[in-house]
Amino acid sequence: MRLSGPELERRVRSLFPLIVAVFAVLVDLAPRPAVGAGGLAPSLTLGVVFFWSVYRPDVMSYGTVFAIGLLHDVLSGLPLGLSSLALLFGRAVLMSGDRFFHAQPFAVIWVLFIVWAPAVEGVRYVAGSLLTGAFGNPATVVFQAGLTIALYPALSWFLVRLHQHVVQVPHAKP
Amino acid sequence: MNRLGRTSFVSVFVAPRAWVERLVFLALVSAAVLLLVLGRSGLNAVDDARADARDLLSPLVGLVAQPTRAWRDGVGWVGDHFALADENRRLRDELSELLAWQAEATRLQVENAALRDVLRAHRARPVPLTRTAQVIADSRSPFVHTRLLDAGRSDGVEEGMAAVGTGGFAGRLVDVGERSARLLLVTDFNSRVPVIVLPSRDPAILAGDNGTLPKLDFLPLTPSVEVGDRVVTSGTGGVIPAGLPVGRVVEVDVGGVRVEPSLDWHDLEFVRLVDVEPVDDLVALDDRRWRPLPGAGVIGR
Repeated sequence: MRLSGPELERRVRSLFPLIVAVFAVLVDLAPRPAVGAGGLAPSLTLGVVFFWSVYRPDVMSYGTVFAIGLLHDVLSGLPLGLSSLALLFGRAVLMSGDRFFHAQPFAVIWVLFIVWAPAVEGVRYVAGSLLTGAFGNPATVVFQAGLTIALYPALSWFLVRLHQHVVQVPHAKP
Repeated sequence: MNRLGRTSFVSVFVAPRAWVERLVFLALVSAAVLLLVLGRSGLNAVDDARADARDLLSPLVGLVAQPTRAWRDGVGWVGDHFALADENRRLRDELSELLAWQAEATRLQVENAALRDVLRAHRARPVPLTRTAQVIADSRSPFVHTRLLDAGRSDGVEEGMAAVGTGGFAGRLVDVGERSARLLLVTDFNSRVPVIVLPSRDPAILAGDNGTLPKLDFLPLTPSVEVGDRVVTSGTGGVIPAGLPVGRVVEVDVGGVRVEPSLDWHDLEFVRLVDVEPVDDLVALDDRRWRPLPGAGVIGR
């Protein structure tokens, strides 16, 4: 099956969210200044998955989310499937209101993220703790989620521009 | 009519799509759960597949880590220049203190060598250094304290090797692939390291609990451990070489004894990997211990 030029362009552009998410996983795991042995730092991956799940759920499908989680687990040493499970949960929660989110101002979306990010981290923490039998300090999860929430406006600003200039096909109908 | 028409369109085209998405969701959740179960079952195939995937991705991970490293080095360079005067003063103080210690150490080294000659005692071998590895990824998780290293079997790295960072013992290698390896930090819940407390020489097991201060387990019934005591690896079991600095005791109470690792967490960029003590040497050491010394009994007569 041969794809027409515009269709091929649309498909290539729609790959960018996955590429950005993969890059976010690699940056998240890159050694950087952090607090203590747990290496607390904000999670870019959560922000990226949330952003495109809200604004373009078609380019952040369940399969994409699963693959991103798996990549994270392979590299981080977490039990395989744990991050995939947490991100699938997060993606499913957003699925139910995807049309509602489109018309909302940024403040509403950020408030949603303030609830969503700790919930996804919480699922990963509870499932991971039950699985490994190692209950880490829950305060670290709260702290990490707080850092992620604080970073989201800047991340969202960058992703909006990336979406407008790279992902979205120019002159495409909304 | 119009409304009815729209409803039937939704029911025919949109609803099946939603159902397909639900099925995909359920299939992927099942796949994730299956992976979790297989991972827990300890199947070698899962571990091997994971190590292969990690080996494949490690060059990319190292590439992304480079700019963050450069940024950190840059910030560190600026910070160092601002703190130059204070640092210089501190180093001068430390130097004068260390010169006194150096004289004492030289005296003790000579005395130790003379006593070993008299006793014909086994001379401790220097810890064999295998290679230096770079930290390319950080687990960043409250329940897994590990780091990914850019060295694997093809570099002569083996499972169980001890890793030493700036300041002291960092942990040991638990999952070694061809080109990458996972370092289990001393603070991880699964980390157990045989240590001795100095100066009392009380043996113990340093157990991580995913906090920042691992605890000492299996101390003698009447331990003489105090806050400030040094903790080093004991080498018991022949898995981790003896004498690697681990940290200092910072808490002694009914809840247990806690140790603050001397490892500098902020400077965990490179680690030195040290080889496992060969078992043959331990056997030889044991033989030597029971062999009668030449001239034994002379003193008795």
